[in-house]
Amino acid sequence: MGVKLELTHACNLRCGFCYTDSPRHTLARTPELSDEHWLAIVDEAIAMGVLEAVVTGGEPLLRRDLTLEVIERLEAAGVGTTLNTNGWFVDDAVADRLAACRGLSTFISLDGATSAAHDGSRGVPGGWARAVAAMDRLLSRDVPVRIVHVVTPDTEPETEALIELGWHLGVTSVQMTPVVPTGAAARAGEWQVDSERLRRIARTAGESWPEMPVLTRTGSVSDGLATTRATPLGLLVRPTGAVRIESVNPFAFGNARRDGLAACWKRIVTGFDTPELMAWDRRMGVMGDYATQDVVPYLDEDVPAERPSTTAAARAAALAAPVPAKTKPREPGPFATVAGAHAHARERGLARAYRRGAIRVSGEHVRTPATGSISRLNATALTVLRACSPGTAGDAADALAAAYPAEPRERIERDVRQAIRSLLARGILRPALATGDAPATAEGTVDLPY
Amino acid sequence: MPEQDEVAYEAPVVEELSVEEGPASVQAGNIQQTNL
Repeated sequence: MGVKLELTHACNLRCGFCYTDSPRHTLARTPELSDEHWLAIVDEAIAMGVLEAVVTGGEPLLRRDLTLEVIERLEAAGVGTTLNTNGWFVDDAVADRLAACRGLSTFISLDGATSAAHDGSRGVPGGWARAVAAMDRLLSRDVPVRIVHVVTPDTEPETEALIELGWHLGVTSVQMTPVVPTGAAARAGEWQVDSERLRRIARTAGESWPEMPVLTRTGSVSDGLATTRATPLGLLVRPTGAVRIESVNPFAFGNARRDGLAACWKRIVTGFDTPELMAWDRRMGVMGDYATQDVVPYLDEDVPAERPSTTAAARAAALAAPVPAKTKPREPGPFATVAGAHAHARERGLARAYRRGAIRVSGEHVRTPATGSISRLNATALTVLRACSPGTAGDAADALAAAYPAEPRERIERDVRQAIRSLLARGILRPALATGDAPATAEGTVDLPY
Repeated sequence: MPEQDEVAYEAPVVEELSVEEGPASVQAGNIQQTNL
């Protein structure tokens, strides 16, 4: 089973589609659990045997010490952990602590190839640059980064350019997600996009940018609910401690602090399919949207599963609740155009430093003892390996350009980035700041002449 | 003119060898595996 931990309501951004309605809660200073209570819940989740955890918010790194402590406890117990963040607060110190958690994945929100699109979508200037810097810091330390791109009518035109930006940065994968109409998105705004177009983009991207998975989520509530309609596989703990099955399911099955997580889980298992809850589920299946539902997740707060309805007054209060205004955009900077943004990402990607993994090299063959696999490298791949032992992607491009002066620089750079992806995937190269394996040294890497 | 200039450029290829083919040294003919 898995657990999703919404450590805080608070967020420094002001996304109009926020599915958890975090800007409203940030303004209202909605109460949330203390660090002590959260750590007790995490310990209980570990004792219950969860296999996977998602650490999220709001922006979880607004509670930096708590978030890092939670991730470290989960990792130490062997729980596969994903951190959802907007990247704003990922400085070198945070990146170092996250990199020490082997097996951690990060999902970083990025809504546009350009700062203009992203910052406009997220409502605060400077967010694009902070997100890109966070990705670079994490990738330099071998922490997997998935770009999570919330696609709206405003950001949709830049989707393809955003995927290319991800390639230049060297991100692990890109996920496109249409807006799920809960929370702030249920209150106002027009969010519908052409999901068939997104699927086409994902297919094309697979050919243009190999070895960088581009995934699509449907954004369909019915699809989301289908995962919880049979036996629930996980639970969600809200900042207040309220326990739900999943984000798309609005009903609370107790409170983890008051009742204990195990007791809440028992309530879910025995009570997720009461006639009242199944009636709500069926209505969702028919209408496929929250627009006319009597209970909407994150708009109607954690409605008790035993009394699954909300009042008109409560709904009216939620709809009327004030939200912080978006911050006025700054003067457009160098990343406000696709060309400027791509140049920045390309520069970051080429400047990233690598070293050899713990490998043995013999002629054109490379053995990775950790996996037992042996790879054969052609002459240009060997040039990339040598130039990056240690060195940057730019060094490798320089080495190939010197050896093949007739070859266009653009093609060489693209080939180098692709080769580095392949070498990283096989543990032959590691980012220079990666930890957790024996450093490759002259003593540890024997080059035998053939 | 550098020696490499005479060799046509080929995009880098990292090919993982299959287990069925045996270790690289066997595939390269440096270790004989017969009559086991």
